[in-house]
Amino acid sequence: MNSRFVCTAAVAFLFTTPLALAQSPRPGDDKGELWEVTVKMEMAGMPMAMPATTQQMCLGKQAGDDKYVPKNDDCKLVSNSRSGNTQRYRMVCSGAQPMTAEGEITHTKDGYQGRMRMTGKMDGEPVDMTQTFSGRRLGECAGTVQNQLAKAQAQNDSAIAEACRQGMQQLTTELFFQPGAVCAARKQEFCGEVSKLAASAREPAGHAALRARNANVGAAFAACNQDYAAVTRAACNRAGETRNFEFIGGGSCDDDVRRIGETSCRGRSFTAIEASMRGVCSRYAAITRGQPTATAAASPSPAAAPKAPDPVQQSLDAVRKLLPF
Amino acid sequence: MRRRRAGTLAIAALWIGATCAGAVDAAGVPSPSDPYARVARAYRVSVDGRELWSSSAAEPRPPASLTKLMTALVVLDAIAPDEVVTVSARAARARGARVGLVVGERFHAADLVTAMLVASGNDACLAIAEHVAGSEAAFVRRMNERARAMQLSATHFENACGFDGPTHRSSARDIARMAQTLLERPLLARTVALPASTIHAIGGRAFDVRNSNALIGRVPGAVGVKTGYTARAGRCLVGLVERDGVRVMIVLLGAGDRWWDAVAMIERAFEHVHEAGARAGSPPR
Repeated sequence: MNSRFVCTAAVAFLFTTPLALAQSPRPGDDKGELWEVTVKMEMAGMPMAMPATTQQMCLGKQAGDDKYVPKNDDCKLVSNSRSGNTQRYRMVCSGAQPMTAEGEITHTKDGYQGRMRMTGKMDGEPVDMTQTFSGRRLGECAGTVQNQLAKAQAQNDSAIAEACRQGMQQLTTELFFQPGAVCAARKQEFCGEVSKLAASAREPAGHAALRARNANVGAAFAACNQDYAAVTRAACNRAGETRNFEFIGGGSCDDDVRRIGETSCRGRSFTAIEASMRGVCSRYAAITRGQPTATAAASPSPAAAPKAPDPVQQSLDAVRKLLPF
Repeated sequence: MRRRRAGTLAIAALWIGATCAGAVDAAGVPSPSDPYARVARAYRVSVDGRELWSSSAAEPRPPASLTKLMTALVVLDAIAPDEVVTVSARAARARGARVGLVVGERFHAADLVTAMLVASGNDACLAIAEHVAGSEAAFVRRMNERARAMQLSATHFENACGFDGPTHRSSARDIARMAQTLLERPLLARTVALPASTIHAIGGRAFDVRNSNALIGRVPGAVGVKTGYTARAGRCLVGLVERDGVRVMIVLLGAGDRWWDAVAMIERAFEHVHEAGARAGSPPR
């Protein structure tokens, strides 16, 4: 059996095994019995076993044993009988994949176990598949949907709260101020945080701490009517007074770097620069050499984007996964 | 009521998706790829292995002593660091940058690799190449085999230590790959990060060697890797700086003012990463 055929058969399997009577719990469909159903397929020639799949689903309460038989639109149940706890059935499938299936189901007090062998042809090639399946009755469907929605809602609320907390920490303005923002209710708290940061950022240490939280603090300040440029200017002035060249060379005080660099860095050998001035002179080189690199620096390419997962994005992704639609 | 609640959640999910997708798109604006066109005949700047800026990065050029990156790889492919190497008369007469080895002196291979990578000593380079393969010519064959195995298509060696030659060449991109491979070997990665070291002839003299890479000890996070210079190649450099888990590597071939230009490009590259992270909504690293 060639690999193309194996793949074709595997795809076909996906269409032939679902229990057509079964439905996943969903809004408006909360009648019947809740079952946990496990299905596993084995096929001659498959290089590896296909994993079993388990689902919870509502099975109708209608009488008869037909409901336990796997269904397919192309297949017709031609015989179905039960003797004691054992049910036997036979199906004939037509269409592009003509096949016959024979199955046996053993019923227990709270469930069933079954096995079905399918033989026939797929794309002209012979196929021999065996499907094993089992079901376990969990209870009534009523209430299940509401419970799942309530659980999803709680997880959703929790994930959004976490996203807002991280957004506050990183000053992610969009989460609070964009139209329809999920954290819009906490704008005031956000601006309170920005206001506190603005006060401390007039000193170099506070300014450095602010930048460590998020390089794009300007947007957060603007959203909260704070003057980031004035705060930065104050920090740079203070750094100049205290000869804090490390802060001046850190990227927030480029006007000062240009002024200082003209006299202390320009024309000097790299190895001759004293240690305390290396930060300023390195920054001076960065802003005066090459093409207008401000453009390059302001326009990040995808290649340079950090690869670390973004925790805010992860939280929001988690919210999306929890939504049952 | 339940459906309306579900609908609200769906809208929230869509809003979240749209918001976050927008942030990523904003960070994806293409940037100029060559903002430093005049700093070198060829250059390449990469962040965590991904090329950020470059010019003529695939063009074959004389690599000068950056050749020794491959030399070190081939040496450690072949022998143990504690193997004893005796300096030949030919190695002791090597031209250019020298440590000052004397014929007959014996060293552990690791010490000669240190002298070769840190101080770019041609005498150390030649001594160890001859020891490994029996002759420099045989060693160069191994270097070219290694280059082919690494698919360094712009690279061909004529000698083991980086002297100019009509077909002695490599490209900024190939050299970056050699450096990256070298840095995967812990012994070599530690060696190229040394600001200085002392090597010892077995039962004999000690030699102080100082790193020719001026970035080491002067640029925060500088951890390698190698310098080079010949008349044809001009000033060359592979520099590696690591800060908060982000690695910026720079390769300059035929540079004008290599130290200041290297510093400028490195600082800009880190700034670039920082700003890209802020636009994408991730905390700076």
